[in-house]
Amino acid sequence: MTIFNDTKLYFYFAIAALALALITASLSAYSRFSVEPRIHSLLNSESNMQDNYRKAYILLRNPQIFALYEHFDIDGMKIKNSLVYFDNKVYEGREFIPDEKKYLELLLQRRTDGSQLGFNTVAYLLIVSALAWAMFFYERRKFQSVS
Amino acid sequence: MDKKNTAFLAGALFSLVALLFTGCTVKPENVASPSVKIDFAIQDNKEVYTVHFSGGIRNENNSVAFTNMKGTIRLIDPETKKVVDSFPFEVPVILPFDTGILDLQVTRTDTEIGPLLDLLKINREQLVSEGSSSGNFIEENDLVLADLVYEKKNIITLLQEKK
Repeated sequence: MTIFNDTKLYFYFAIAALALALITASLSAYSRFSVEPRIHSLLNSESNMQDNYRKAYILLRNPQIFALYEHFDIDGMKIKNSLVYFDNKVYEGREFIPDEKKYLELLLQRRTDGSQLGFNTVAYLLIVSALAWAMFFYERRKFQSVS
Repeated sequence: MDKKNTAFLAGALFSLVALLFTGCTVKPENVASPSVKIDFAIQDNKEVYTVHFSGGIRNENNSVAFTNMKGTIRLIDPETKKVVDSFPFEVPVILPFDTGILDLQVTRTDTEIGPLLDLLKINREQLVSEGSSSGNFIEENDLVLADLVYEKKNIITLLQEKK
């Protein structure tokens, strides 16, 4: 019976999963540790509300890669309506009111959910990569002992 | 793998990426809730028919705004496929997920209005006596969005410009 040496297969699979995990982690970390705190501080700043809300909305208008503004389910419809409302507001230069903060926070929540999904995906990819590494070392040892 | 195959694969990959980033804009192809209302009046001893067209053009894109949109709405007779009437329009901007409202008004003479009245099955005598028709909804097959030109602009760029 022919015994196949899958060492290379496991090695490249482990590397690919690890690379994907690193890319996903960097995208999620950028959102979690750079963009989201910036938006949070803009929304909670006590001075210059108009300009801060406007800046926060423009940051929010650029979605996190795992929470794009498309394919809305029933829960997501409130997000879609908020986008139409705020796009028009900012485009027409109308003023924000304090009550609108909660709708901006909804958009921020979507971004936070997106980055969390990214971190969960990273954990999954790291487990897959670890399994592939384990199989790689097992396979390598098996073939070393055979030769 | 030889150089030719490598170049082909690189080209295919580049085209795929370019398609993903540029080819995803949904083009407006129809008019939402189109309707026509006709008013009749006598001005300077001439019969004048004022046609009011209303409808909307939806922007189904999530990040692209349409600006400086121009085009023509053509009403087509579904049987003869001939153009019954045309309404040129301009919309300055349609933001993502939003609808550009069309509220057009054109005047037609007694001879020009005939085909439109036939298409909408409006009785001319009744229109003249009542002075106005009730709003008529237009079937999707009876209408064509033609000569459409517009600019595409990323919504973030557009909003950043509005300081």
